Amino acid sequence: MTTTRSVDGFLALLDLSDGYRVAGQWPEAFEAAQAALDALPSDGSLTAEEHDELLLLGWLKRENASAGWYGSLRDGGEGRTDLVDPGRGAVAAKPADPDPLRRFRLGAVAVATMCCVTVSTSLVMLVIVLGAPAGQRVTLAGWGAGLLGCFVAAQILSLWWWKRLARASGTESPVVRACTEGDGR
Amino acid sequence: MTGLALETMRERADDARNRGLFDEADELYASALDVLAGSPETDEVLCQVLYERALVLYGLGRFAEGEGCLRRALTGREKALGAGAAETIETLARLAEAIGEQGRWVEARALAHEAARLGRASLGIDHVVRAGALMASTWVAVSSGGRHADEVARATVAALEDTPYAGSARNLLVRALRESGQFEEAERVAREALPLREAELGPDHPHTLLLRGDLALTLHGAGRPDEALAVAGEALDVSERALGSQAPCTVRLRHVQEAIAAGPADVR
Repeated sequence: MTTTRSVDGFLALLDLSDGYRVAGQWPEAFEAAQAALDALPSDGSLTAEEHDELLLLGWLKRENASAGWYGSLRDGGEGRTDLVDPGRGAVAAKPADPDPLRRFRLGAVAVATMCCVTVSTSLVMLVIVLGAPAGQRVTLAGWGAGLLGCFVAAQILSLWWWKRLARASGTESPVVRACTEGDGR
Repeated sequence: MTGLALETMRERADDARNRGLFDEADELYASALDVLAGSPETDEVLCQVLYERALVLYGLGRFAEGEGCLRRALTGREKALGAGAAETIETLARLAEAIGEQGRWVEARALAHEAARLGRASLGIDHVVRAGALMASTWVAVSSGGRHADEVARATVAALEDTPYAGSARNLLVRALRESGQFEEAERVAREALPLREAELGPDHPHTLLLRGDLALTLHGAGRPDEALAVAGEALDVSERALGSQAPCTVRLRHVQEAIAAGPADVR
């Protein structure tokens, strides 16, 4: 929702937000209040006092819409209170995880697999070193230890990268992003 | 003095404050602060006692002293808990009010807005401190006689409906409506708010009694001096009995009664 910055535009958008609020259309009420805040002139055409007062008015309308939105999500989510803080969006609304231990189990399997692969590789290297002529064992053991270290480091790095990618893939609404990354209005 | 004695002192002070007995509460908080004299400025118990004493000083109309307590508490909490902590934001909001009471509206507005901004950035939608910070901003807008004060107060009532600030928001709306000459709506809101305030705080709490005073001023403004005098007189009687003849609330209500009796002058 884009608009030129003017007090009339600001007040019209707040009226629109009120209309949505009365109709129980909370996300629309929120977005209209946010658009009103975006439309508030900041070019010095208002006195600081009036600007702050209108800004507060917009904040309050947006807060009201957020509270209604939050309430509707909470009611729809059967009493869950961790769903969303509309407009701030610390937690995105999503369906309840049917198996809350799933992530834990996946992590445990990944770590166990890493340990097994590392131990197997170490045993293979040990066999190679023991089977080598006595004069070459020390050199081979050094190379083996170095390779094993690199191997373990690569596994740790891939685990960290996998975790980071998993975290980044969460969805976030444009409204939430605009408010959390915006200018704080 | 033992920790237990300090705890008992704080409990008694809290109890006196909640009953509106601000003189008694102030003495107890002052004694508690003596006990905490050697504590570091970041000690949360010290900060909380400073904060609570400031509320009492506010009730006694000693705003400059309250400001001093709040500034100390704010410094300690910012260092110990960070700017986004609920306790810090709450202290900032009360500091804005204490400064506003001394007529420094530009400073008060900036601090109240910062508290509201931090509340939104750091606290959940249903956090009581987030509501309290918005309430402080509205108080500044209404008390400084802002052009859109009545609209701001209406929006505050709607936004804070399900919070502990619902009663205070209605009080502010009554003031804003009265001061903008909307007496009919002011009376309706005051009469709706009174039973809620009585149930929440009790009939002889200063906030309840001052709301009665606001209702009296509204009736006076609407050109109904007899009704206004009756409401003001009743509130003054209760205040004298419950809080004493020199309590700030009683003094304020006496001023209201005298102003109504004096004639149709504008009284705020």
